[in-house]
Amino acid sequence: MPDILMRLILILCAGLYYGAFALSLMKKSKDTLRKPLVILHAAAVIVNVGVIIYNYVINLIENGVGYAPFVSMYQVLIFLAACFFPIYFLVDRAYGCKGYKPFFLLAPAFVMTGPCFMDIADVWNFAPALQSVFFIPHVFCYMLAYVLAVIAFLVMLMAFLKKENHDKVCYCCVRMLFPFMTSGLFLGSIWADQVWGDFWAWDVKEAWSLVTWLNYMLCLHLYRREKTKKYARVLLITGLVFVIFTFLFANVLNVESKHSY
Amino acid sequence: MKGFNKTFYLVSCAIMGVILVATFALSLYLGLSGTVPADSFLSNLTVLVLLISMGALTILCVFLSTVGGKLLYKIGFYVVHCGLVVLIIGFVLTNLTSMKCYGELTELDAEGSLAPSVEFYEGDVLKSRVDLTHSVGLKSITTEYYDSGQPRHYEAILVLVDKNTKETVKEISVTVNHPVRIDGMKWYLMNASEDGKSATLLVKSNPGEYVVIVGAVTLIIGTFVMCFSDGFSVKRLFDKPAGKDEPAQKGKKVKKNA
Repeated sequence: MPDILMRLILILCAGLYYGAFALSLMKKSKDTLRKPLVILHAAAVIVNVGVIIYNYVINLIENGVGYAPFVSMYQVLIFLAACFFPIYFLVDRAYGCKGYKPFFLLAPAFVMTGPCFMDIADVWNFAPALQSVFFIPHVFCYMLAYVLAVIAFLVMLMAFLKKENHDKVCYCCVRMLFPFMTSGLFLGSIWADQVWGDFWAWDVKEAWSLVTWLNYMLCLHLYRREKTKKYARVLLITGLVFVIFTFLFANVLNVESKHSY
Repeated sequence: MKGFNKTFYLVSCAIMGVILVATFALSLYLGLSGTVPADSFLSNLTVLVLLISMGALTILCVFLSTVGGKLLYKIGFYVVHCGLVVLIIGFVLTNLTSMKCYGELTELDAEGSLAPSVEFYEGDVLKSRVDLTHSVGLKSITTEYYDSGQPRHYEAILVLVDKNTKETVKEISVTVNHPVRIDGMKWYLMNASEDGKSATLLVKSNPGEYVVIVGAVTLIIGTFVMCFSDGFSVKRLFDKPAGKDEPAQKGKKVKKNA
């Protein structure tokens, strides 16, 4: 497929997400506009998933088996955008998405905007250290955890702005997030022992991910007591700050790190 | 007795909180400064003391706290905290007892020599010396590169040579993500030289290795069991239709309108 066509599809996908977001903000979105909203959202997700499948097939053809659709930042971001929908679906079933819908549409729209301007042909040259069975679970777990962290923060923000109590949903997000973050962290640790001979080396990214993990661990403990619930909300904010730092510190600022691939 | 228990519980929770915050601050400092404990004014001892006290207090808090909720949640609770304690024990063991040795082996055909033993140094001091049952040599190393010049694949073939008869006993292949075990020590391929004639190897003996792995796996399984046990069970998702169980918010809205 020519690059320009792919770029058009990506722009279409981001546009669909933005369109659905704009619709969801309108007052009539609950009755008359409900159907168009659902159709736009569904179309965006279908295009997104289609691009992922296309990436997967392309990876299969070019590199052979074992290349999940995360071989470059471009593919990772497309995958990340699609992760929002299943979580939205679950939260909707459990709690009824009262007013959360715009966030679940804006967040993937933001994420999809990135790939529109990225180099499609760019593929990471997998260093020997990266060729491992741990690569896919490690990255996948962290992506799910980060998506949930963003959503927990957004729900908390909305609760703060509207002066409503949404602790239940935030707690549910943190509870979904924590197992994935734990898996990502400790699978990474086992992987590090396989490749560098150390379980833990106090690398910049490792230290930050430990901070993030401890943050959400504290958060879960605070949610268990009625009196301490309000402090847990603060930890959701710091949690997002740490997540962004962990995700970008080593990769963007080019700090000397074992994780700067 | 009950009153005593409650004070005890609160105090241990408070200490646990302080230790968590300390670990937090430590990792924050290390993350910002980009150093490792050994290189900064914090020694490895600080980390060890924090880890050990965290493990001890976790045990204490688990015994003191009462766990509510479903059976699955309770099981998850104990599995998680046991896993955490095992993991901490493993990390402490690793920190105290593991030994590392970096060395370069040259291909035997290119006048490389056999290694009859492994010497573990700490700084400049010889810590211990382990005699291998068979001498180890590098038979060959293959390197592949991408078009951009970045490394794609390294593979080293090690030979075990009998010390007396000089006969080859076994050939073992080592790649970057697949260390091998020789005489109870793990041999890692770290790097290959540019001329493709010699390889940098890391030999590590770590008695606490399996403790860490068991702890980590237990912790992962435990968090999944605990976090997905009630609050977000599949049954709950499909029993209650969306949006019918939050009368509190509807009440608020009605009040506002009135």
